[in-house]
Amino acid sequence: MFFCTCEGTIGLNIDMNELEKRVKKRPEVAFTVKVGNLCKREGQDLLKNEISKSDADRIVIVGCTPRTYEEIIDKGALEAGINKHLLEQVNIREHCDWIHSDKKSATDKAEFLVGGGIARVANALSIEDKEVVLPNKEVLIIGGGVAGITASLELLKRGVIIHLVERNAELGGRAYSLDLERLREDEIILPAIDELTLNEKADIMLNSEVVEIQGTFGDYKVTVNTEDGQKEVVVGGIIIASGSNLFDANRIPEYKYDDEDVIDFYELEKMLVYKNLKVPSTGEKPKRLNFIQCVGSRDENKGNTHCSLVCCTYAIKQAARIKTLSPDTEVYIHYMDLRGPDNGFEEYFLGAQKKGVIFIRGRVAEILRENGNLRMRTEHIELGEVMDFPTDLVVLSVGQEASSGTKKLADMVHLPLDVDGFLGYYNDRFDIVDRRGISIAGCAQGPRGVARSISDAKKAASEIAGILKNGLKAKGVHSVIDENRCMGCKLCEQLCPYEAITMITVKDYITDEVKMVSCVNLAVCQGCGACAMACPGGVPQLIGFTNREIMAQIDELI
Amino acid sequence: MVTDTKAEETVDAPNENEKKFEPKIIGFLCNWCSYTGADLAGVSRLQYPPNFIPIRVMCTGAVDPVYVIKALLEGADAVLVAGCHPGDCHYLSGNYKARRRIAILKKLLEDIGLEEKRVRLEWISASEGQKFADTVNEMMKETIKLGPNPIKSEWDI
Repeated sequence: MFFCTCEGTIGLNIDMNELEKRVKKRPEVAFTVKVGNLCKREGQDLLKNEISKSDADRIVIVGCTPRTYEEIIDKGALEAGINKHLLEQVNIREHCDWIHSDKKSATDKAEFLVGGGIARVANALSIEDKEVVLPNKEVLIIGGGVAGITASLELLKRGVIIHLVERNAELGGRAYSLDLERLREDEIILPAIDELTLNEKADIMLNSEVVEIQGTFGDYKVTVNTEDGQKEVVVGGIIIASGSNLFDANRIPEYKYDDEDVIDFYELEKMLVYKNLKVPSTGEKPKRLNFIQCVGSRDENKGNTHCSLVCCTYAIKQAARIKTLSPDTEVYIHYMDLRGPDNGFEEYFLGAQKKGVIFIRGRVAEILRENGNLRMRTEHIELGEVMDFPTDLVVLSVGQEASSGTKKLADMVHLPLDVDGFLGYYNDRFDIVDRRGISIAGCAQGPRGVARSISDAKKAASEIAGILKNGLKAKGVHSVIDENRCMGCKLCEQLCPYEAITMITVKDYITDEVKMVSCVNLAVCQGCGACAMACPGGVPQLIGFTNREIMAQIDELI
Repeated sequence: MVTDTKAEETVDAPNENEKKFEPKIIGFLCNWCSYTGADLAGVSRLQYPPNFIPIRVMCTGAVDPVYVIKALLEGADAVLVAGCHPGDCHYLSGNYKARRRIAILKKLLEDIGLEEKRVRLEWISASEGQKFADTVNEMMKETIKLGPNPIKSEWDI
């Protein structure tokens, strides 16, 4: 048993010497040591030393919360030859010392807590850490936009066979027609598409849609509706790169998107790519061109609450381009706030200003067509005025929103949607492949530009390829099912939120009868304990949190 | 007796007799939200009576009603089960399972003559250290009003 004083911060209210004295009397305790910092190198060395000196086979660490340094301490214990399941951290810092100012009652409580920890660890099951090998190494990629293509190529580079499902008739998605962020279609997208279509390890299904996904990590059976009828593919992992939709500007009737001289940025982009800038109704070059920002974004009433991140950069770039192509055209950008999350945004902005693009802060109220002329009414916040603006061409910077199939897809793979309807489940600082071998790349998890979609896709692909190749470790806390005791009632199979439990047939060890039993897929199991709770026979056990451990702890605590 | 000075302020027992009663409360805290919330209460030095004893579980969905009953039979005066807010469960739906189980358990407790208030289910997120401390203080107060758990004395367990 180790008492960690957290460099003196524990022990202000608990009498540590008294606690140690009381605990030492217990028959289970082989030795007690006081240390200052088990989470640091010196502490870890001491831990290893002390354990190798004695014959103790279980450790109780009395100190801080396991939520902070559990991994470091587990690692130290493992190096000392003691499995983390045989280690219990008793939290007397946050749960006792720091909150109770009375010395006697705090010490009493600490003794209780330590007793509970001892009881728990004494009843702990010792289980070796398991490596899980995944049976299928192929990957399904949903969506053939820039993220899907990049992920596919990245996986193919690593020798992984891929299946790509694309809803449309051609690959490339929206990025195919974009000439933004210095990524010219003939430089990035086209060669990538060529490379992908020529690769024989790539199974590309165009005009196809995923209709059903069954199975778990390492063994997914996916039904796809293709041009040649239904097809089933078996894969190990899935990358969702289903992208986003552009906001439909018709949902804001004041902006008169049905007028032919009101276009969205995507249509303008096509004009710019072919150097064919003109007012659709007259066929002439526009004299006055107005951009309206945040169409459908940051608009709780008629659009979405989120910011689409890329529209400001796109509009500024387009405006500068127009100024280069046609210097006589007056270009105005009406904005609420200019937001540019990527590098170089400020330079874009300054460059556009130098070229003569005029930025006007204020919301545009409406667009009117009177006597054949287009006009817009807008506020100018800096001047504090409402302005009436004649214009030839209006460009709506429409935002991105979750694509129409996102909800269906989320239901299929049991992923939650975020408030904006995107698959925003992961914090991108952490692992992006979850325990079910599903990873999300590109705009499916929120609005983003081409560059970020590409980096997303590369990250997702390299992570999933690594796991499929090397297998993965079972979670520290996971469930085990004794197949000899399982009666095969399937209750746990239905309750498992991760579909980690499957039914397998085994021979009974006494009668030799063939029977159905539950089996935990350790690649998927997250250790929530739903199965352990549900089983009428108490067969599944959550390692580290078994009934025996918790019952013993309750006994000790009261 | 609750000798903690600050706790005494919050736990103001109405009469001398009850003042001597020191309830014992067991808390099953979910690893991801409420246990971390309790840690935050600790880090923020929010005082609550020392006769609240936490037990870490991975998920409220893994709290077997048997644990609660066991705690009550062993003589705990009240049991707190605390987990993530609805929709926030780390394991997708564990807290909903807990909610259903505790609802049934409360009915059963009434049948065997225990006040349903002795079992409490709370949603306390990792950022709600204050709510955690408040909950414990409030439970202490209520349990003092309820008096000692009768099972232990009646059944002489």
